Amino acid sequence: MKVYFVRHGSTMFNEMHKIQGWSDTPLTSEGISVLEQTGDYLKNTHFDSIYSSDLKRAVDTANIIKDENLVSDTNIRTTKNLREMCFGSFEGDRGSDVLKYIIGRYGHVTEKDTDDPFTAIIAKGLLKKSDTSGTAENIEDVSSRIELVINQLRTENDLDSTVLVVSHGAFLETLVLKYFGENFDARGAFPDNGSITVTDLTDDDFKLEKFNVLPE
Amino acid sequence: MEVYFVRHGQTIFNLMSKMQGWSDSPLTDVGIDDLKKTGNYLRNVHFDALYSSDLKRAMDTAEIINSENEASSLNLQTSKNFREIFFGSFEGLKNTYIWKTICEPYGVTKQNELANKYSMSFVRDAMKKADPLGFAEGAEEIETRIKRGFKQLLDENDIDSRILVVTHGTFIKTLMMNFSDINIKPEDAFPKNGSVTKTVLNDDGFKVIDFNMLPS
Repeated sequence: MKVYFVRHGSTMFNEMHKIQGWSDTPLTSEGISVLEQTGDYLKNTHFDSIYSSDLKRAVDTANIIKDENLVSDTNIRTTKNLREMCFGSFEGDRGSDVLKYIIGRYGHVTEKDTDDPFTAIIAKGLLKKSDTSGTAENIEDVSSRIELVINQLRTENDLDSTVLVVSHGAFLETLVLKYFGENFDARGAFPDNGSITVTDLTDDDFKLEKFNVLPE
Repeated sequence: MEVYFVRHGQTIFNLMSKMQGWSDSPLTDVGIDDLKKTGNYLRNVHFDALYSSDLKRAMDTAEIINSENEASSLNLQTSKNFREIFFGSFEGLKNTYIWKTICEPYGVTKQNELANKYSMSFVRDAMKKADPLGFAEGAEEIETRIKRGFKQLLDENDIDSRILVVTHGTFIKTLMMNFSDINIKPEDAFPKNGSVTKTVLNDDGFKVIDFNMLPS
């Protein structure tokens, strides 16, 4: 089956550079414009089913794409399993403050200056390690949820289906590195807001066709 | 018309004492359980209409109460008018730390101390002033929004209706401090999660009948 993964549109916390995992903020008007273009780009793609994380920024994203689509007639199925990584006590904190705190506590996190520090912080599970709420997730936790999602897609859809899945940045980065890691280096696997990643999922295989496509 | 204002259930951000205005986080299990009790408490109350803020914690709260109610047949109507106060750049940051920063120029350290020294409206304007982006809602913006909410209820419903509105803590506190004639201190005017505040609204006024009621 063809699975189209879309990252939700830009939100208030994205623009304020605040940490947003299980916390949520409204889509910005710019975010919505980009999604209308994404929806337009996909308007003639027939989706047999649409899945979304249950966080409102994802559901709103799915609704915008669904509204633009001319050839699909299906309800949006929401699931907690598609949620972004939970960042625990860091939720809502300014990204720059979290970076300073983590570097202060663990020293420099990246090997090369060109590496994205947040990707490195997540890769090393440093947020979960320092979280005071006991709710933060690491890559292993998200990876388990990804496997549940893949199972759900295989169970609920025929092999010749086309499916839309709306989710989040670190979730999709984890998925892409988990299954298609040989294509990526230390950065560059984090999808943009409103971007499309196309894959092919069968009973025993999972292939990447296009990554992080943004209609211009 | 009778308007019952219910504060949404406990969320992750409530637990972490993070500022949650237009940002949102999931209801906790404790929050959901408490809401089932609120719903049960209201099970035989007939409502003519159900409104909630368009933030997911309020919408989810409304759905839980609606599912427990046996005396009404309701479709949820969401409105931005009933959103919590917007805290701008302070969204997602720790409560006590933020208020300390905002109150410092005025010689106090806590929000309610500032409200007692001056007024609730002063507190809102102090926050807006302290917001580097100036995004936080000031007193006038909130008053306008609340009046718009009142007008929406009056325009869309018969004068003898009973309406349930799911909203937020500071919103209800503002109703108590600035719109009702009840003499109450700011530190006593913040409603608990899942509580019910019964009011009467008509063209010539707004009255609070019972504040912050919780099922025993």
